[in-house]
Amino acid sequence: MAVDDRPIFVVKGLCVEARSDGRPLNLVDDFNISLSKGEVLGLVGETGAGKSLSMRASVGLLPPAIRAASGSIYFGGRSCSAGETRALRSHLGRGICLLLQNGRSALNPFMRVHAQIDRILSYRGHARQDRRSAIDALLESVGLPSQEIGTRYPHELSGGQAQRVAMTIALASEPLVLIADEPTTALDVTTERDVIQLLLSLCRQRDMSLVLITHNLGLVANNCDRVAIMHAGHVVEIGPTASIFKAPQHPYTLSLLQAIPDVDEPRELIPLTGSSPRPGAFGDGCRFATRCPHVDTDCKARVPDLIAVGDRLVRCVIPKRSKVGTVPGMKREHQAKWPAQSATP
Amino acid sequence: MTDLVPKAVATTMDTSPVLAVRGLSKSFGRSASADMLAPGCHDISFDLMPGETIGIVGESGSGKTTLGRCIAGLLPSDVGVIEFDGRDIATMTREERRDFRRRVQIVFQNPDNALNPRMTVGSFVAEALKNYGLGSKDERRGRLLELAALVGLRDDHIDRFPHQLSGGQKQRVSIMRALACEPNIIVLDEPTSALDVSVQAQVLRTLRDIQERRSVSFVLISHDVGVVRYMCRRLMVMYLGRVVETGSTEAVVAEPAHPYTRALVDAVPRLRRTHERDFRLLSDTATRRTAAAACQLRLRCPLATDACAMTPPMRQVGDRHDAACWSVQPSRLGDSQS
Repeated sequence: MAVDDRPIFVVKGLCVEARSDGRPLNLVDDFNISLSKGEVLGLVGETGAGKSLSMRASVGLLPPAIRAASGSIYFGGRSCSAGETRALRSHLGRGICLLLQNGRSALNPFMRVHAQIDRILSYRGHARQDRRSAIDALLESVGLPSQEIGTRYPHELSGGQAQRVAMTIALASEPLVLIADEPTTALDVTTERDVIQLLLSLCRQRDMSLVLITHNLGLVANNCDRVAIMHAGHVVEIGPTASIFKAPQHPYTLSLLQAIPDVDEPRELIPLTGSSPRPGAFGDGCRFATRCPHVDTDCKARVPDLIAVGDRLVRCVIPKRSKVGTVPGMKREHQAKWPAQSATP
Repeated sequence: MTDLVPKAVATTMDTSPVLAVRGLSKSFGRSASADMLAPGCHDISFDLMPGETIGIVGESGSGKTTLGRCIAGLLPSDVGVIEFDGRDIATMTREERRDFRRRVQIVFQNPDNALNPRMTVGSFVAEALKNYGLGSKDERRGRLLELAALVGLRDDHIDRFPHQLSGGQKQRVSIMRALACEPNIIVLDEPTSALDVSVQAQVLRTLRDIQERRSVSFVLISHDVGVVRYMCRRLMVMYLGRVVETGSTEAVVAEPAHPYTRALVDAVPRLRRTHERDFRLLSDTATRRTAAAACQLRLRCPLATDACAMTPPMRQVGDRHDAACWSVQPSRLGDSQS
């Protein structure tokens, strides 16, 4: 897939905070991504890693008690500070669209499908007489029969259908960037595959960039050009999907891959100990230090920088120690050597 | 040491099943029209051996949770027999039923709803022990420590309240309570789908360790084929209330016979491109429900023919591998075996 290299959407140095007892509580720190035209970026991590929060901050949609403390967002030819909520929100529906987890909750329960799409088109300034055919074309592009589905209310749609209608509404404003926040988590796998593939083919047709927020690494492996892995508010590894999945450099990325049950060749799962630290308990050092099997004193002193390792950026000191080989890759010869009882010595 | 494939029970053939389900049906409300199948599960039969894990997979609405709840005695069945240890659970005496309730436990998907927010872990689990009069007060404390260690909780977790625990720890507490009364069967209803992958891996490993130490049988309900592949030797695939395929997990995943199973296995997103097949059902955008007398997959199945207006019977397609589809050629293995 040819990707135009000039970035159209850039988030730089984003830092998101909540206030608790008058003190700022860091939720997302030093978050940087850039998106080229037509590129598909996967944003993965566990619950509370800050995936949704960082993307919401970049479109000015943070919940009331949470604010963007620093950072800048570039879109549509100009930059603005992450604190300028109003300016950021003005992009929504005019170049950036959000697709949320539950399609049905994005729809108005009292309006028929046709009427909801019609409203968006009228905001966009489509003439009344053209709208009907535009609605039919949009519904058809997501594989829904307009005659049958258009007159239904959201509660009469299945989960997959509702997500497709939500997608139609996002597409109606012809965005350049679509941010899909767990768009298929509520769907069954067979439907999930159809919806994701539809989403990707629409991106390709319209040369639309996509940020796919998900906790499903399998989805990312098959569908994203690049992937950013988040842990406790930090991006810990970002780069081309294929190479990261082949040879992860950050211990967290590796442990995520080792924790997923394989369908075709079952192997022993190597779970991480504990769970991600909560905001406020991040400490001064690497936020993965408490769970990392390779931790040493360097790690606890300060947060490691994102350093370039080959074709990607990694927030870890291990690759710098030039002992990359000590982090076992996903290669098959390593699998037999994995300790059977525990990953941590 | 744990094997890479789930362990088979050494004596599968010569022990009697701990649970036998025969022709179980349970439906809810009324169907959309008179000739359609009501939601629920229909005509389910299987055996569960001591120490075995059977996986039940299917999409939402396939009736897997209903089946699990019937097995755990939380729902009465409409038709059919569930035999626990050779006794029909519908006709048990009061005492027998109480014993049954102790020996068949259930772990729910969302531990937040399963735990009592006002009780500490210790009192919550001890309640189950007290209820069945197991041990004196001092013995119970020792038992709690033992159980906590078994599910991978620390001693100091025992005095905590649910809100002081993480999601994975709460699910461990659910498992701990289920284990407290030395059950023979635990129904695990999507035990890890509310958890993150790293925590899911911890919980799944704990469950397998427990099974090796106590020969408890699991009925694992999941929509995740990977989880079932890791945990189970044997698997049942359900679609809209009916079992459509059953067999060893390995065979069903490697050589799925039923069109729904084929689509399900092919749709699982994989980390590496190890899987080339890509069988698809017709889009989900049309109506799914069809007449009760027909194959339920009929309207989404690309292989559907006129024959599919009748429910296909379960037919053997491999070694202890059955599928209910007219398009599948029954194997001759059955003749040579019988």
